[in-house]
Amino acid sequence: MRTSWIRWAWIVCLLAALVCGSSAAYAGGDSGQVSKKMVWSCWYWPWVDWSDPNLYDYDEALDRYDYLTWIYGYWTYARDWEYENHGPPQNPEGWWGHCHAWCGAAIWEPQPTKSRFVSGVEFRIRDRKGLLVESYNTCADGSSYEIYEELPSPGLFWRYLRDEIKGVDPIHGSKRALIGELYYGEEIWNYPIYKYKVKYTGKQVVSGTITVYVGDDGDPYYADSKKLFSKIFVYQFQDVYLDSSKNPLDSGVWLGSGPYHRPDSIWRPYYADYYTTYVENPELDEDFLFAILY
Amino acid sequence: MINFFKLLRAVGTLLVVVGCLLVWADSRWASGQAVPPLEPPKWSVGDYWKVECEVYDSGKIVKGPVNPGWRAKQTWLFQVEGMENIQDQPYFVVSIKPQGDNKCPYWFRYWFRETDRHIGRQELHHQSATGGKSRSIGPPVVRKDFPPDAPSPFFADNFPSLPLTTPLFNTDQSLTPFSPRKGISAIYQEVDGTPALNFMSGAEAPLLKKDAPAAPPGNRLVKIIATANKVEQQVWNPGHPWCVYGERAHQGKPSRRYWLVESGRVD
Repeated sequence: MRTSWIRWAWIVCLLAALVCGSSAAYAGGDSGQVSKKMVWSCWYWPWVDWSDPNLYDYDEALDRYDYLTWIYGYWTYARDWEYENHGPPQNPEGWWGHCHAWCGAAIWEPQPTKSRFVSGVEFRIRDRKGLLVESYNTCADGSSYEIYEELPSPGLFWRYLRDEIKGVDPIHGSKRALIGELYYGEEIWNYPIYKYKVKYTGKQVVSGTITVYVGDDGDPYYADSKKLFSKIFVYQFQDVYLDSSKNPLDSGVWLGSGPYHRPDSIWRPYYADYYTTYVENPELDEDFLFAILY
Repeated sequence: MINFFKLLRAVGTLLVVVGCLLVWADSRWASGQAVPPLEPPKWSVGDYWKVECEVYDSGKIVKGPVNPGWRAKQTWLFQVEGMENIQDQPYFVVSIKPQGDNKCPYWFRYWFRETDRHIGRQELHHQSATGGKSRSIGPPVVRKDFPPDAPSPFFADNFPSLPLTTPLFNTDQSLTPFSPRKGISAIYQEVDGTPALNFMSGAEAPLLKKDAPAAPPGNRLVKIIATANKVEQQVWNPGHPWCVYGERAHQGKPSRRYWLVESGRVD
């Protein structure tokens, strides 16, 4: 009886060793990140009035902008335009806001880290971030993408992370953050992706998880802060093919269900070489924005 | 006796099947023989052409009342700047620059091999200080080389409004994947001698003449297929320096379309 028990224990140990040994032999990982200074957190500046602050509120960024132009003898109505076009008259839903514009600004523009006085008018960090966000509002209108992939496969998503965030083959010759629209469904939630980790098993055809780290815009306090506040998304995938250099090919499937089981899109607009390149609010002027933001 | 008839029927069925296979194989061979390799466009230094491109936006990035649809046309100017050798093989050097309302702040240079238009090198140029707030976003020029010993159609995923997909000319490789080296997916190329012009409706294509009773002589339909359900169709004509019309679809949905609008020569 005793001999039989020992024999079975040996068999179980041997099988366990075989399973662990084989998976360890084929386990792999990949990771990359850009400097945390290359993205910044903010507030999504919602369109609805019941969630504050809004860019059209009294004493917020556009109100201060109008006051500055008034000092110079101009009558601009940037705040009124914002209320009419990015505010309650549009019957917005609670999740409507400026996350796409924040992402464009957050990956291309340095973070404002202090207040600036222009002709005696103070523009706080949150005002300068708000104006930068407003200045990128049309960056996702479809005609100015340097990267755009809708419903990327796990292999393609990983490949862009590897090329751009790890810097294996970056478009601009150096690492650069990407933007992910990470809500799979009707709502839209964009985030700047600055870091990723991949764990997988397999050799040529691999399965595993992709973890992405993104800047967040979910709290009004983030607009005032210089700190990078993060969120993490974890995705499961299988059947991604790797080439001989371990670069993932456009392949594989996402596992799971629900709005967070896969990214909806990845994208990045062109860099804007003027503050008004992507501006939609017609009351905003290049020279005033330059004085406040540059 | 019954067994003999069964055997006869089986043999007869087999002969019919083999006959059908032979006919199919013959037609495949014959059609393959009937389609000559794609002839490269005639370029010389100083040639230029303009291409307009529209990108379809699904409206899935921006919160708010954004309607999906085709966005504003983006114009690109192609110009053959010169000839250079890469590993003792002659290449056309073609610059590509944004024109008009095109917001792209970069421009490009591509090296096309003379024999088959394989792209052997690309450069992205960061414009120097066009706007007041311009700052360094990378080295002035980002260069990438592609192996000359593994020619392939050029099919890029980035810069969706830059219509640069280019078939491989003077090749009879069809239905065989080109290597995904330096690429994200394997690429297939098909060339048809008699294009059935079944393209997206509403596209402008002044040189395609798709409403004409007969397609202009020499039109060739090229289909470039990436393994990830991306298909690009182009119509090439030896009388023009670039494809007169092209369109890309991803998983059956349109993603971009473009057409040649002008060509000429700068002396």
